[in-house]
Amino acid sequence: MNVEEAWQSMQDLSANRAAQLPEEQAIHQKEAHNVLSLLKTRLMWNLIFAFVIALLYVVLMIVIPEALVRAGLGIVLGFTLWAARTAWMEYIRIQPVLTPSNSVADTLQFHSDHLRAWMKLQEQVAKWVYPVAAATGFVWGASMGADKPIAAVMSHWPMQVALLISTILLSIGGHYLGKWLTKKAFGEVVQQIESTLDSLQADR
Amino acid sequence: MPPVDALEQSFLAAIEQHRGLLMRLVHLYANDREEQRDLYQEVLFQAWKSWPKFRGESTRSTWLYRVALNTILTAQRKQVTDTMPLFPDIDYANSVVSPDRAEAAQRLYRAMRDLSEADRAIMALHLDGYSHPEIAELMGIASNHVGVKLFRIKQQLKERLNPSL
Repeated sequence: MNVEEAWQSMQDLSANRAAQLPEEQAIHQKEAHNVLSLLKTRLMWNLIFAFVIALLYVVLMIVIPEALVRAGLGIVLGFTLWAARTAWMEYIRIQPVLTPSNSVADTLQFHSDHLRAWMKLQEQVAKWVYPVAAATGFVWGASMGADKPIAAVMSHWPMQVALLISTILLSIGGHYLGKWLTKKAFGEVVQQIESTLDSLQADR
Repeated sequence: MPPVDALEQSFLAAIEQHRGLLMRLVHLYANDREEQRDLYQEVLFQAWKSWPKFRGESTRSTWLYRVALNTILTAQRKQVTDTMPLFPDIDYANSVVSPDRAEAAQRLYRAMRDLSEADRAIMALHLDGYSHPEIAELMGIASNHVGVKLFRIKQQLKERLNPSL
């Protein structure tokens, strides 16, 4: 078998197949559908979600008179705004149209860096926002359920232990939930891109 | 910058000339018909968006090759379950490729699909006549590294095809 001939035959057969596809004439009406455009969409959803949540926290801080709950909500609001700012910075940095002058290795690294940055952001949010939100919700819920001030409810040691245990469990749960969600969203493509990068560096 | 119509015409002419090259690269990576269409469309989109920046520092085919490889290798693709036939429904009566040559193309395609994604790209560039420094520049690796890689890739292909490469 002559490899060069076979390679040329592959091209001839491919040209026939491509000619059957209708996309070429309407190309200027299309949008990017690559990983970076998908990442950008997710970042935009992060921003919308953060905006709605932040508004909710502000309303709750006004409505709930308890200082401890307000402090908890304030911390969560701070993390939410920090996450939103990070998401926005990442959003404006990402250009879904590839730079044609970049090498394959540069392009792969660029994708890997952005995807990793997004995944890290999600994990940070899961690690820091969920536990504080859960603890705040627990304290507030206990206070509402007992119809007593927070200080009175939390003065009993079983409540303090329950708060500690639920915060630890929710922190661990939040951490793994964040990891699972990011892996589900971009885990495979990150693995594929980084495996190709590793493969490029192999055989040195 | 030329008007959009002229740009579009020059772009479509370039695509028509090189569509076999682009689609062959897509075939090397896509796992089914739907993915082939999506990847080819994304390659065309990326090439079209960057087309006004094409200054002729490289040939059109090299420029399109780079856009195609960058697009394909960073695309979210399905996990491979089995390599599908390259062209399961060739109409030989209207094809420029004879059944024997189509069979040889199919064997080469299967052998190349067994290579890693990076190795497939390097071998494709080599088979299209690119020199080691050109492959190194396109892929972003050292030139002497290309020689080492190609030696190993050819050995792998020989094991699968058993021809004289």
